[in-house]
Amino acid sequence: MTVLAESADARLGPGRPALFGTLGDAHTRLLAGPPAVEGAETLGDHLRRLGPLRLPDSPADVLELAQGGGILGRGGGEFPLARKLATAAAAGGSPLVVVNGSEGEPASRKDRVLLGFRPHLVLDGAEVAARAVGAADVVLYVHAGERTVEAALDRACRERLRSGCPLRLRMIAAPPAYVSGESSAVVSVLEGRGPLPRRRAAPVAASGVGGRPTVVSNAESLGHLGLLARFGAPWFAAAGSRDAPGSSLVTLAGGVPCPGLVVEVLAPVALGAVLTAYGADRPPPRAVLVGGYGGRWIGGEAALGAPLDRAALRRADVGLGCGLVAPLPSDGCGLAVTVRLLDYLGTQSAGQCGPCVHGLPALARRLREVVEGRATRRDLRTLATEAELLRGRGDCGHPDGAVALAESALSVFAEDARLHIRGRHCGGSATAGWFPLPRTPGMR
Amino acid sequence: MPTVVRLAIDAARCDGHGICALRCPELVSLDQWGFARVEGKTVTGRGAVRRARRAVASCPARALSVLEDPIASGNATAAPVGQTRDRSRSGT
Repeated sequence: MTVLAESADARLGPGRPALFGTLGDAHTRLLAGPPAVEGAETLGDHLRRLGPLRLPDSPADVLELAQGGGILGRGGGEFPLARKLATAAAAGGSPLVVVNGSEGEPASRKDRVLLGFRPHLVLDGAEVAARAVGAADVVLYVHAGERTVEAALDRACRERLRSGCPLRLRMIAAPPAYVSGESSAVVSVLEGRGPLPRRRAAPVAASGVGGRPTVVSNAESLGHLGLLARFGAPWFAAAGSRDAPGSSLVTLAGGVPCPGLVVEVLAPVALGAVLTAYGADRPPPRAVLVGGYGGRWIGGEAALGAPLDRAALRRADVGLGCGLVAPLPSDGCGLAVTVRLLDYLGTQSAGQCGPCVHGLPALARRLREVVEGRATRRDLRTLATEAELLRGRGDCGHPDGAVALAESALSVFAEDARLHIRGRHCGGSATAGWFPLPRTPGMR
Repeated sequence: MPTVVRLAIDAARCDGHGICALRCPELVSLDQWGFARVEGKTVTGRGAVRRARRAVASCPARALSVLEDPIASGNATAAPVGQTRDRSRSGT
């Protein structure tokens, strides 16, 4: 087993215990290889760097290989990838593998970077998944309008088909909506409807597109699967933590000098160490938004010391989600930024569930009243109650994300809220830092 | 053993008719917009179970279902009773 690990390290670069890195850093896993200026890695370069992907002949053995890694889904839901594969494999029929590169989180860039620069890592993973469940079809579901990613994948698919890849590879544009990547919404799009998440009687892995078992897996998860299949579970588990093995991609946003930078974290390092390494050290942020726009604010000190590890964060009731790490810039008002994000999340409701349709705009409206000094302490309490009453009320997790954002803002920025209510605006800006909002039409 | 049930709601179907909350106030309340909010708790006893089933039957949008707790009801093989979700219908 150590031999495997050594050979992997030799091929991936020197085995020094560096804890994180960016595209082109040799000690990373997903991001190792040529620097960004060289664009997408070709199949030839990919194979020269990592060696061929050799899989066991029997699907059951491939499944077992995948199960050994314990990969948690990297799209936000943290669902164990191997369980999706096992469900689809057991369901029989004609399964389908979907590479989920929709990346609807407006500030997240990790899947775009991975698909755009290391397409063959992800396609390797898709091949492993397809073999494990007996699928002949792979759908590349990619954020609409991402030309570089589309071009990289288009070329990568051609290269693989030329080299005898037996899979049917198809690329489909993911509508640029926040909920597009939710697995039932993915199925809905592939069935020709809009991205409409629905609670389903059976998981999509058992019955998805047209009733076919459908493995919808985040692009990063599949990238890990490709490497796991090459180098084995012990190597895979040498990064990350016991409960969340493997490295993780995160995207830096908010008040950072390099917004949109994708960092691969190889060990549970402190969030503050990563921010400092990429220049965001002065002054330390008052709060950090973690996990996405439907994630949580964590107060500055707690955030900087928090380990970037899915399992540890989950224990602290914070999800690493899509991997967004966005410190509040020093000239920003956390409450006002939250109102902007809530407004956006409200426009992104699929319009199916009443509590989401009415509740999210109401949440944003009430918090705006606080920010603008038009609310009382009692209104603040009402806001907290109303937020709590929205939790779990939708068919998908969309309203829950907005509630988490609002509730964490009320708790982390409680002092600011009191100032605002007394008519003393904290002076921070709503538009400070990089919290991009796509100019996409609302779903409704 | 007594029958133990709880209600489940398909939020995307609920149109806020509100009849359920009249039929089974201990398990359903209406939010400020009139949409049903289902308590996660279970109920038992003839009257309560009957009210839960009436709430399900009264929903014009067929958004509610009653789920029997098979273990607490002493019937480990029982399937969900009442309306089950129709998988073929999705979208709005």
